[in-house]
Amino acid sequence: MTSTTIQKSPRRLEISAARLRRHGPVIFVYALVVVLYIVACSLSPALGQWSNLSEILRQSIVLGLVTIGQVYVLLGGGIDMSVGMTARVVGLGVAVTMGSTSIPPFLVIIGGLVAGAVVGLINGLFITRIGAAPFIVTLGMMGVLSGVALAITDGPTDVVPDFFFTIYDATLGPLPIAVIAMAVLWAVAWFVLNRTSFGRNVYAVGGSASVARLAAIRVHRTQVWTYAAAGVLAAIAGIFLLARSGVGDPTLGQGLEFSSIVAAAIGGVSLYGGRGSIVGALGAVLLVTMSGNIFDFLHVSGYFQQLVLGIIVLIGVSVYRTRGRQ
Amino acid sequence: MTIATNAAQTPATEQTAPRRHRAARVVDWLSRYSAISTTALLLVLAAVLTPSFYDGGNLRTVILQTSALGIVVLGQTVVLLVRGIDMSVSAIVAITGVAAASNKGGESLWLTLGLVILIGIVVGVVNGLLITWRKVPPFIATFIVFIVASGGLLAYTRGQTSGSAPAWLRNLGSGSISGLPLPFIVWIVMGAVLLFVLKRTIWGRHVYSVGAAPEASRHAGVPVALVTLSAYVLCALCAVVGGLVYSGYLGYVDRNLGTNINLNSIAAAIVGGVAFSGGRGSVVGAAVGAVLLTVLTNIVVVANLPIYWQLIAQGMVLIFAVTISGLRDRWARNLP
Repeated sequence: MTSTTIQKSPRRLEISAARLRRHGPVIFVYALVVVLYIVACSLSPALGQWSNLSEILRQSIVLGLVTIGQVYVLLGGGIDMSVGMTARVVGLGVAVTMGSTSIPPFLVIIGGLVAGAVVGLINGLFITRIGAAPFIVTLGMMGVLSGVALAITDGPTDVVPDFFFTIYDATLGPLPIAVIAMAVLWAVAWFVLNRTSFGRNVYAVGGSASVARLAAIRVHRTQVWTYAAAGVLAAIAGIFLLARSGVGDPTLGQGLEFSSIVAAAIGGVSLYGGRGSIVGALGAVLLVTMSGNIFDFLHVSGYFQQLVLGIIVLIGVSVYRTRGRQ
Repeated sequence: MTIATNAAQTPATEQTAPRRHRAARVVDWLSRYSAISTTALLLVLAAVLTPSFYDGGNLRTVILQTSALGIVVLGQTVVLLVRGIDMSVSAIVAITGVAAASNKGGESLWLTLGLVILIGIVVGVVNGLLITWRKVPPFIATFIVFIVASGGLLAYTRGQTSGSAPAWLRNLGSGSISGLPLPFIVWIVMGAVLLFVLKRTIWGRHVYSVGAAPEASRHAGVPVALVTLSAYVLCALCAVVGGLVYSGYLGYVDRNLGTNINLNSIAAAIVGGVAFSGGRGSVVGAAVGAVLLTVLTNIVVVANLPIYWQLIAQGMVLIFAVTISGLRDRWARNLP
């Protein structure tokens, strides 16, 4: 046994049972993406064409942004229920501020991102400094923020300035710029998580906070940063949603907290912290977006989509035993 | 006395120990009595700032709303006691209301009742099985069930409002026996029964022990899975009764019925001293929490404040409650 392990180069791509088991959920998700693509192509060649694929990628941006933040929070042993409402508050806030004041749009957007970071910091500080349950704190924050959003506006806002649409529409060659930016963001998220000490700390803290503390990792600081990141990413998602629809819709960001948690879970991220990968989450985001795309193509009525998606997730979690803490 | 001896025994922490001890006592007191003292404070504030709170009609509304929320909170409390959480109650409330309203004539009252109770049991069992058998974290399991159930409702109603509640339901919602509103009596009776069952029966003791220490309970021969499952079924049934009461006193039903019940029922239980970490809390505390939440919501209306203050206030109450609870876990672990 020992001799074989010595002989093997550590960088060699080997297919071992252990490796398969470890990456099982990720492989499974990508297999499903491929299956879904084949299904889509057999439904209609139009679905398989490049124009539709690039549209799917663009549709996946909002969920992707929020999911990256959620993955960081989950890996660090927390959960963030407030991301959807953060996106809503920032989106509506930016829309109303740009409509009613002459502050440079650039500053308004920066302000929106800062607001997202502040929400994340408040979440993180309550959770780490006071030891309050993450789920409940962020649920309370979700309630507060939904009130704030209602205070900002209870109806659609004015149309945003023209240049704002370019965030959504601009293309570079065959791809929308937003998609390229998103790809870069996924890569950065992967790099930070896998190639920096911060990423290692996130895994360690989520795996076991007490062990991480013994290893001289700043547990609280690491966790606070994950919530702040989730807040900023949710804010970006809110601004992007605004750029997509053009008006501040008071139902903006509805349900994002839950779909991001589900996407992370489908992608193999443990809801108990410490295990999972960005790659898996990306696959799950693509999977969820592609199924929505197919629903739209099949003209599944909006009234049934929630039911169908819910049943699929329900079957998913009942068939695949969620991996608990070991 | 104890403070002095503590300080004498550990001179190194002479300064910090008594202070920390005092802080722990404050937090412990808050975790026990913050709900009731805040409620009292709110009632006094209401008398000073918005006297119309005490108008007969408004008081009756407050009592009705408290009863409806309180009935749902009873179930949520039991689920929280077994270290769970139920995010599907608002869907059950809505389904119950729509099912009751679909039966306009009211001739098949028992059929409707049977149907909604069956729905409640099914939802509770699905929740319980996902959590005990498939080991899905409670909030995920119950939230998926919420998505499916409210999705089913959306598919059934196609977004239409479902009209008015049948006469028998409106009688339940608005009737009263010797001056006391019927929903209030239902709430008090259910609460009293639950209080007795939790304190005086084996099942009740099992609920507390499963929440406090699931692993130890399993070793002690407690049927952990069964107790957990029964808690979710009980919670779903409470939500069914809550849904009947809601649609009864509102008189009309649409699918948005009970939208805030998830947040409010959890907030009421936790502000009433039920620990999110399970195993600690009482029905009485949760009832006080329900009163607090409703009074707070009602004052926003009576004082003519913009409606969004309701949401902000409810969220803040939840954060405040979990802060107290978290600090208590951290500082006051060793207090009696």
